[in-house]
Amino acid sequence: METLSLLSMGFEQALTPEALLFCFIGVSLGTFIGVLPGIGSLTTIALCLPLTFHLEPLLGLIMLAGIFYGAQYGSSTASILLNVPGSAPAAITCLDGYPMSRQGRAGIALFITTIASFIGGSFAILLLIFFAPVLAEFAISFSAADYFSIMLLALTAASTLSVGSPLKGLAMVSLGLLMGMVGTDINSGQFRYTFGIPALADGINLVALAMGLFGVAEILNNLAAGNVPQAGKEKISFKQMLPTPEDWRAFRFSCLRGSFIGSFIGMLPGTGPTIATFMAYAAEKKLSKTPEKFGHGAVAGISAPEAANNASVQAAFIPTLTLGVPGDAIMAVMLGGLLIHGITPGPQLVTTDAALFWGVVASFWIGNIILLILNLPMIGLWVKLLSIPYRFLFPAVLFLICIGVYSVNNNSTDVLLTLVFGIMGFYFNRHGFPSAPLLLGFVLGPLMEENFRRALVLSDSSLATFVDRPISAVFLAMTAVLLVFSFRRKATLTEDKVQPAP
Amino acid sequence: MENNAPTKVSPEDRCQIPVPVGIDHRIYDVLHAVPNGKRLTRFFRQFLRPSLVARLPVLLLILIGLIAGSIAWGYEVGSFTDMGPGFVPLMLSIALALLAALILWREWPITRAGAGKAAGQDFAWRPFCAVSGGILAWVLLAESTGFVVAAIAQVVLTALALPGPRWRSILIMAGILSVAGYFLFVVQLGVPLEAVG
Amino acid sequence: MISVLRLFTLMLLAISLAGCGSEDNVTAGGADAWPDKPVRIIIPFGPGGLADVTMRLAGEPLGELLGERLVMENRPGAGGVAAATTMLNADADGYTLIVLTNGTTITETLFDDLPYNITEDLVPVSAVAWFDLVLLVNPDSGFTDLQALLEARGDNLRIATINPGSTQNLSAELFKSLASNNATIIPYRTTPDVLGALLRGEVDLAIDAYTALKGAIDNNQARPIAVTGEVRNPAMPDIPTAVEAGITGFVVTGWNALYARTGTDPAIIDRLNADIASVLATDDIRTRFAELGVEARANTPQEMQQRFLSDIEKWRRVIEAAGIETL
Repeated sequence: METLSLLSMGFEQALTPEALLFCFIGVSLGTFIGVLPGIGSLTTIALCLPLTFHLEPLLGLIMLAGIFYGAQYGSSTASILLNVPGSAPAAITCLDGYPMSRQGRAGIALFITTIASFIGGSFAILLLIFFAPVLAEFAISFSAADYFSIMLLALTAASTLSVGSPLKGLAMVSLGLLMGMVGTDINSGQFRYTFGIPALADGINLVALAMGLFGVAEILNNLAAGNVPQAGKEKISFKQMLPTPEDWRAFRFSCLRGSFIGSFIGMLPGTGPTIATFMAYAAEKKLSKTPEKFGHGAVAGISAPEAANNASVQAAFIPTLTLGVPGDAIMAVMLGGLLIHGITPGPQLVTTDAALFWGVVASFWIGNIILLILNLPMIGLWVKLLSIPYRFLFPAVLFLICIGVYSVNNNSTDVLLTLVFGIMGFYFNRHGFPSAPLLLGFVLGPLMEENFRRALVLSDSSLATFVDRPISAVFLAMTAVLLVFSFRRKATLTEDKVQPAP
Repeated sequence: MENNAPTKVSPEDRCQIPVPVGIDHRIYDVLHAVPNGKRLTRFFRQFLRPSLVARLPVLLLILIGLIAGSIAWGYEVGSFTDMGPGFVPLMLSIALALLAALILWREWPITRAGAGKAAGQDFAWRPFCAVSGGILAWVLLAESTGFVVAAIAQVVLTALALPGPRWRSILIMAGILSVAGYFLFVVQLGVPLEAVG
Repeated sequence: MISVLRLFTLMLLAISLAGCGSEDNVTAGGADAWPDKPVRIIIPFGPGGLADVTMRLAGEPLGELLGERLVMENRPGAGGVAAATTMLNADADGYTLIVLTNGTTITETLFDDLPYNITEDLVPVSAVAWFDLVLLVNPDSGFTDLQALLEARGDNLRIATINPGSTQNLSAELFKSLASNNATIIPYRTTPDVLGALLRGEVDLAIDAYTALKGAIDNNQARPIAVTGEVRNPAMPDIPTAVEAGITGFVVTGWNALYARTGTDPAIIDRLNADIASVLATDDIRTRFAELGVEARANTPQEMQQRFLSDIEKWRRVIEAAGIETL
């Protein structure tokens, strides 16, 4: 088959010593950056971009891509071990990963997330290899109404994210949605809630928010409660890392579902891994037979988001490479790198510069394998990190958060915001208001509004557009089903409780 | 994260919104406290302040909703099918305020013990000041005095959150982190900050 | 416990020192005192963007001419405020320069309360790159002529651009006022979104920078029907200018220029200007810029200043006419 022969040509390119070297550098750097809270792949890629100008385009692209998906492997490490996310999408992994770690299952959690990341990435790569053009066309056909309906589904699923009072979760979602309004309204150019501060005209920085709400708040919480996490002196043997058969069963399908959701969301331009991970988590919680386990160490709660994470990141290459339409900001930066070499991505790239395209695709797969081999033995090392006494650990984590958040926009105001959000998160968490729904609302809010209004403009103010377009209709139907399902479940629970105990 | 303000009723398992049963005994106190100043202060300290503090998060949310809503009102609102920039913010502000009010109503009944407990919990000043001070120091110093100074200041201040005389280890850690961090972030990754000055 | 900490720190140091060794230290050549250390160039955009790419491309040979490395510093942020603030904290010694674009002239009007005054605090050195916008249609739409499009669509004309406040968006407002008064302008977040809208047939016309959509044009995903420059774009000699196509007065050209602090030694500015001019005249740079759809052309500080002021006025009028709110 033609694809396979092209693929083998790609592997030839990707298996040269230089290509392997740069792949290795890229993924290692990526993993390392991913582990560090605050500094994310976008910043790193942006900072490394100049280094690639003197390299061959293929090598440069391999390295940058390696940083990109490598970071997704590492970002769950800090989430699991310290309850501090390595990046915004990893915040979801904190919810179940950290409890697992407290239960002494840190090694298992890290093992599961590594494997899940690999499966998610591989799934998306397979899609890229065999279906890229078709999927790209499909993805680009999504219009504003379709985006809105998907976001609506995501938002409805967000109600499942709160452990505890659903009302408080909803209030946090609303607050998050409202905070997402800060900045410039895309449809009219109106500055909203900026109070004359130009720094806010672009909106609140997502990284500052995530690091504050989950990182600083977590540290404040630990310090304030006085129950500093105990240093464990365990040495993790390989056997201890292996999940139990029960874990495997929970893992299997959740991982596949996560990969699927992640790939789907990832290939849509404009959506990011954060949305993908949240949706995968919500889907697992809704579909699970034991939803009460979520938030307390459910395996599906880390395997699905991690698979989704990596799948979305790899799938973002689908529109980028085949249509020249970047899947997100990071892709845009990489495209800039290609432009400097005089290469314009687009449909013709696949045919005229097939060597480049397939070389990059092959390197994705090699990169994922390298990451797998790299990360598994490191699990022992990371768990050992836990044995550092907290009083040394937390200043270091705060240090990393400061410089990490700063490096996104080279703006100290962002770091200040991180502190503010940290205090806010700490305070609200103490009173039972969870942070995860806020983050989701914040990410979804502006997108939903923008797409809703644009859909109406495009349809000349006709609301029917949301039902006329098939994709939008499907997602709206799914949302409706979800709502009915949740109410039914609540009703059943009610009936059980109302019956007098015998 | 635990909910530290315990409620008398937990309506989560019921479908309908409950009428707050058990009138707050403290209201009874109010009625008798008015002419007598001493009782008034006691009332304030033992009832009003704790219950306000316990409910502060919700009140804050309502306040945010109201303020955001009034600002949104100033932007062009438009209609549902022809939204202006103010429409969605206004709807969200209202939603937030309503949800918060609902939470307030549901959790209104607070026992005296519960309120006292919530207020009596010592606010952890030391970690709060240490972490805030550390990060603020970083923000203020990073661009003006350089990476190394800011990093050392931040690490030292935050490390003070936990009690215990460990100056040597704190300073060593600050030194290592700032130097290694400088090489990694500024030199290698190119974050535009000077080392010193 | 200490050993783990040491191990970790050693890892950090190892990685960082590996990079440390690769830093090149170019020593100063030439008799002039300036420059004798690397020169910072502040770019108010993220890496990979047009301003960033063109500056980096030109920066290399320029650095060689000057004898010192040029260090690019990206400081993105709304209205270029972050970049400008950094610039203003620097001394007027010629070691810190900033890239301004025509977008800056727009910001002057959009943001009322800027903490700086460009005309007072900065002086131009030279322009670096010039680029114009393109009006594009979907290739399947059958339109090859701007007038035909306007007649066919009339008031139902839909124009896609990127976000309000950008040059592209304001150009669309200008176009609307000069050509078809009731067109609907639909803003999108990024150029790829604009392209997507065009591909889906949601909009009739897209206005964006040539560079951003060059790939799409080459791939026949979008068809240009007019350019906004004063003269035809050399990369597309068959495409008429908007003025030729009948929209009188619709001329928009974007530019990037290097600026220095007011009070910088005029000798330094002259030297920079001369060096930039010679770099931009080289074939290599001209070709590489042309590949990006950009024209490499220097000018004198006086010409640049004039252009700056006239652009401020031009966009101020457009903003007022369109009724766009200022911060």
